[in-house]
Amino acid sequence: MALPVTYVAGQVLEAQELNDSFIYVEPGSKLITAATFTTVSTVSMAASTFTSTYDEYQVFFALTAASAGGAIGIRVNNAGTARTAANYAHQFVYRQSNGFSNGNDATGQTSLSFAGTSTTPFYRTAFTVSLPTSATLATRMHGTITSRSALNDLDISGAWGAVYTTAEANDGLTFFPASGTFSGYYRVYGMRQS
Amino acid sequence: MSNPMIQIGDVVRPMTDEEYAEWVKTGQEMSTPTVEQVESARLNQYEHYSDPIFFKWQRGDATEAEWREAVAKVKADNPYPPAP
Repeated sequence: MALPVTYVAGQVLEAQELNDSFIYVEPGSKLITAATFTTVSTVSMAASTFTSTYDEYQVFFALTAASAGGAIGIRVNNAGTARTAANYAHQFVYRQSNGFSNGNDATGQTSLSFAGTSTTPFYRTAFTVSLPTSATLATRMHGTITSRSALNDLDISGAWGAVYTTAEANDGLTFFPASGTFSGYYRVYGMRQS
Repeated sequence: MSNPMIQIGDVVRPMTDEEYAEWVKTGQEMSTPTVEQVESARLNQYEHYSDPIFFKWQRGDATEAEWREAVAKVKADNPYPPAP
């Protein structure tokens, strides 16, 4: 789109002309944190990663190595510490590269665990965390995942939704393998509301 | 020998004994499917794997032994969890 004013070659621009011609467009999202982790058995976001500044957060979590195949767990955090009460529920639908489609769900779990990884890791999940700092609404998450099954080493992709059923403020997430260590990275973005 | 490492934000340290015990317990729970999950997986795999062989057997294109072998494989691949 053309500028509202047409400048000519050699013209010296002054402050007011620049102010009249340009506006700052705030990005729709802001990078809150980005971290890598190497051969650890648990990785947690720092305290206050989620704040009341944003209602929705977008999280990208990826593995680059795992010492053992198996399930990957996710928990919400309170002041940087994972909540371990049996308040987690999820629904997961998926399809494997051999044509199997299936799904699973669970309630009353002590963590979210709906897909794992093989030792040829391909675990990638991107998801939205809604209203994590609300003390009156449960924290809900929904996203997509692609991985490689620890059970049969087949590619598996699907969509998932989950809830930490107790209405408590949560300020981050914790990820962990069922056994062994893993390496990878996560990124967290706050989604601007207006 | 120290406990496995935990990373919180940018800080990496060994797990405390309490954190390690809780991680081991949760990992065991995560690695054990529920009866409902096993039944769901079996049902799905019967449908995609052994049932087609059953119908081939009915048409004379496969043997009963092949069908029973397929059913046994589904059960072996999806064992029930041990009794609590």
